[in-house]
Amino acid sequence: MSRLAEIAPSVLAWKPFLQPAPGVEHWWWVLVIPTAVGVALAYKSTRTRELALLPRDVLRMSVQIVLAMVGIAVFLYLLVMVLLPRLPVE
Amino acid sequence: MPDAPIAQPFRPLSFLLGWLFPGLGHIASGNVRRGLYAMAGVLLLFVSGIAVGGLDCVDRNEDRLWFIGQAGSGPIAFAASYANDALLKSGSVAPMVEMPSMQRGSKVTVSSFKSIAHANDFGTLLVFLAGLMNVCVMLDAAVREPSSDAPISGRRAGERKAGAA
Repeated sequence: MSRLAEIAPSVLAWKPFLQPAPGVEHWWWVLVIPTAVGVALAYKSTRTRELALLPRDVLRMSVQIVLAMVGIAVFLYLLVMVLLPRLPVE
Repeated sequence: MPDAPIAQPFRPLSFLLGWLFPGLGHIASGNVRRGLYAMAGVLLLFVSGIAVGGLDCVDRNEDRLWFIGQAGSGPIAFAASYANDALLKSGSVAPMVEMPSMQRGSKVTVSSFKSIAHANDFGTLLVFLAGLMNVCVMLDAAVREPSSDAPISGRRAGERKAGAA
């Protein structure tokens, strides 16, 4: 709540499309979702043979992208924070 | 198993129209619904990028390598870069502020609306992805069979069932 109160004045003063969205450094990871949906929608609109199935295909691919990103993030976290510090220094 | 794609000749006009505006290549060749969906996907990425990073995330002078990919979106990317120059870098919508320079003694002024850090990273990436995805859409528009959007039913569906059996 304090973080919301912290960025509230800058949200009210925000001029969309001219200046950067306020507080992105706090919620940047949420942007993976519109990124995945946009890529899936553009890609599946060219690959789906039957357009009636497009929403299902877009949803499926979006979830796959987000899960893959989360999986890569977990893997890199374990690699950098757990595995690499255990290696001998020399 | 999906039907084997029918090879179509490359149509440069559809390719060019797809670059002029995302999805226009499909719409011009009769695949209206497909073009509208592709347009929605590319514009979602493009508009999200500008909304997150501001106009500063499209800059053909300072971020030239990124702009090469972003230019795949077509004239809207050039328009955004021009607007960045005309509105932000000129100081007409926000005051210019002095920034530390790498060269001693020189002064660098930038717009106070300049995006940095995560906002700039994600904004630039989203617009870049819009350009790359639009290239895929343009290539599809150039080789897709015209007016092939109609739902598969009747005779074609019967052929598919016979082929699957």
